[in-house]
Amino acid sequence: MQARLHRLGGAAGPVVLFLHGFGADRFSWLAVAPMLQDVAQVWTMDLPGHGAAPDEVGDGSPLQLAQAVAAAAADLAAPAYLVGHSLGAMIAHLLHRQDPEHFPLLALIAPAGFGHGADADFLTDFARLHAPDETRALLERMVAKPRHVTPAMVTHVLTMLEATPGRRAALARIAATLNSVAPLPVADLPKGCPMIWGDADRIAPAPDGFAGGLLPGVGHVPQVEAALSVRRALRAELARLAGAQA
Amino acid sequence: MTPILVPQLGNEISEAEVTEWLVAEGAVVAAGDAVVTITTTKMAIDIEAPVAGRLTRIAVAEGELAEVGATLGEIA
Repeated sequence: MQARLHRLGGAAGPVVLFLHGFGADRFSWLAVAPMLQDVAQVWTMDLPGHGAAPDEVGDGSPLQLAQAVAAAAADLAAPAYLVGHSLGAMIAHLLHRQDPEHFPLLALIAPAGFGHGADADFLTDFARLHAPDETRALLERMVAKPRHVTPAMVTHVLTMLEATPGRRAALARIAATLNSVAPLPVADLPKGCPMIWGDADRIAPAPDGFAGGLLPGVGHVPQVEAALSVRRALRAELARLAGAQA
Repeated sequence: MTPILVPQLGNEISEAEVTEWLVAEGAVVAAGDAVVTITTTKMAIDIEAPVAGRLTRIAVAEGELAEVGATLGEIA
């Protein structure tokens, strides 16, 4: 089982690794990650069963996916600061708990697996998408404003699903496992790193008791819907880290 | 005069299509306001005004392609 590491750029600053969510790929960070190259060494990744990575996903559990991410990231200089979205945030959280020195958290965005858990139907239906109209309708559940789901995004998702004969089965395996994992209590949310959540998230809404602020009018993909806010939060955290080390 | 540029989009994307100007030429904008939406082969990205001022020129019309680093418009 392999994740596929991808270097975006950036010659100096901390190593930052972006982990995408279920059904997405490294391109989901397009409105955020490339713009941080002046302050960080930026890396993205395709999780197993996604993007350019092979379709072997083991039991599909976040734990096994996290092991694949750790293996793929082994050659990165430590520490590798993690930014995760949804499933990618679950994985980042797991890696951080296993080895906080190697994998500090830079930010978690709409992390799945807390409170009420993620939208089970969304996960299950995703791997079965075939027609552009049904794909658009499902993707629109991720966002607060439908205009963020473009024809290009619909085509990209369908192309990804058809990329290999085993892609749909890989995603269905991950979806089934995610739907069977008991959500963590809000008390398990990591402390000390920015948590970025939209107040209109219908896929993995912020759990009851979440004490942080919510981005108004933003759904499950703040890095697309509110890219500027996400970039600012990440830049602020990178500046805080640089200040702490100075 | 401050240009509104197509931002860095990583080493796999070199151009984007201007899909929608969110403000009209001549309009006053605040720094950080979304002014134009560009679309790559993967997704749409809102580009924000780098400074406050007036959108004095739209250099790339809706439906046209622009390369990374190209000037989309100008704020003065």
